[in-house]
Amino acid sequence: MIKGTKCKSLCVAILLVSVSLNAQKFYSRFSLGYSRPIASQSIDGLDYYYFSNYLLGSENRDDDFAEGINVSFGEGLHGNMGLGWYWTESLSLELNFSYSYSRKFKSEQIIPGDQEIRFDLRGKMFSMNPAVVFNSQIAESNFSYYSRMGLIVGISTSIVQNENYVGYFPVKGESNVSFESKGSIPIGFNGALGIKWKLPKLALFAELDFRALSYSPKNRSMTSAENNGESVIEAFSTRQKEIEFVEVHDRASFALGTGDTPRKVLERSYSFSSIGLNIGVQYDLF
Amino acid sequence: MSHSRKFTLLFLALLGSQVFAQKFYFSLGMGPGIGIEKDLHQEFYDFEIVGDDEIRTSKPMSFGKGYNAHLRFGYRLKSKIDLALEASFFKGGKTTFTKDYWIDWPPVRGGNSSIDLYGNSFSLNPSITFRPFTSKFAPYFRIGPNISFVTTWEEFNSMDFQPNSNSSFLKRKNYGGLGIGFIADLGVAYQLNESWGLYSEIRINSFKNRPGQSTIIEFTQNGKDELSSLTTDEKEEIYSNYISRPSRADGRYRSPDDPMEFLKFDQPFSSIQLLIGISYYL
Repeated sequence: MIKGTKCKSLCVAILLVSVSLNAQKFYSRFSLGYSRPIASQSIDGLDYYYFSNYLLGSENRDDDFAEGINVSFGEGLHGNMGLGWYWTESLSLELNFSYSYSRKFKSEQIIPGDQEIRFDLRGKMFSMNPAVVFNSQIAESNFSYYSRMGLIVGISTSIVQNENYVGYFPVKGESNVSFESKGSIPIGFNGALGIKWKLPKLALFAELDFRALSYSPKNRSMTSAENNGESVIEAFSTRQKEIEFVEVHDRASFALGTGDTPRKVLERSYSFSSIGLNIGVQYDLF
Repeated sequence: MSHSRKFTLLFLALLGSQVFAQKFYFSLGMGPGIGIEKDLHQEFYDFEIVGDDEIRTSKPMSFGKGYNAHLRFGYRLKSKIDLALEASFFKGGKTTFTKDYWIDWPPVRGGNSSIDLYGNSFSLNPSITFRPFTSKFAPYFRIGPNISFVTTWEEFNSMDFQPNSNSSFLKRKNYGGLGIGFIADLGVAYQLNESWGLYSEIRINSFKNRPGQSTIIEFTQNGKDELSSLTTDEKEEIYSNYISRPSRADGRYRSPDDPMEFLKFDQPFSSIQLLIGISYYL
């Protein structure tokens, strides 16, 4: 009887120990951050798009200037949430989801007395980030450092573009036109280096987060158009409202004008690369 | 010298040798790279005249395809963290475009050009390396900024078909730019013995180059050197973020004796590289 009781107690003890070893294998994490651009680019010129600042034809010409604008849609705010699993004490696997909302990039092109054109652009991305994480405890402390490397898969990405025209182009008066570019799934790389402060059941972390990613949309659509306050989007043909970004096109499919098929333009890429600081919390789950 | 002073000096010497022992290391490595974050670069795409039609074909490119060779100097700050400074040279491979061109009215196909783009970079990469394991086969992760000094070249080989058969060659050099980006390496190191080790790593290098100026360095027509016939404004360009009193929306013409000034443009240079190397621990 005593042996049986001892055996049962031992079995229960082993079970409890194994459960507690397996316990707290999963964790969730949430963070917010702001990123600065890397690999930013000039998107001035090229077929349908001009994005730079200039003033031409001022009264004494001394005020005239031309200025380039560098764009990476990775510059801006982002929020992240994810789930992780400790494979070993030093190695964990994570699946994170993040939403990036870039700052607004603006350009202004002015010919005094004739035309003023103002553009603004903003990029948004919802992405999935599978990653491998190396963890290491700092001896005799509640701090640990970690590094993370993985992929970024853009589940939903778009670039919103607003254009304001004052003058005689495209029609007399003030016109506002908006477009949205989307389609395709960009894939890039993510690396991070961070430090974690472990508290009971929860940890606080701060990390430097590096993203190398570019996005090549598949199409661009006019979402609104108004002239002197009145909607005029119905007056535009499909050719004028829609652009399809392609690898190859002929002259007819590229030409401007009216028509019921989208205009075809050579595809191009926009940088979403960035380096940023994230601050967040990690919860041990089960 | 007193015994206590001798003892102190001996202790400091021993301590110093232990501090320096296996703290510093040199690494030498190399490997190929392919371009990533490719883009339609300026007006470089394939353009073909077929009858009276034009076919444009996109050819996104990155100058970051080629070969890397590097020398790295590292210091083991703690058992799992290194600081390193790397100097590397990247020799880029060529990307070729072909363009036909029109002449006359009504326009006919007058000739074609073959355009080669390529570049080299010299980079400095201070970095921090994280090694979570201290086993013989140990994975690691490195991250740090990338500061690159880049030179690129554009070679235009043109052939007229009409009205006469003429050939020309032009080579432009773009330089004076600084590319600032980031590198991230995921690698594995194998410790052969106390002094030597091998490593292999996958590197993501993300940056764009922005040349400061360009010069035509070769120009021949029908085999004859015509470089001296070009004026300065035809031969040289400088690139600026801001241009005062421009003559056009993107640039400024001053005189035949001055370079043309244009707004800066960028050249995609990002790459993914597979590197192998050897390390020596001091």
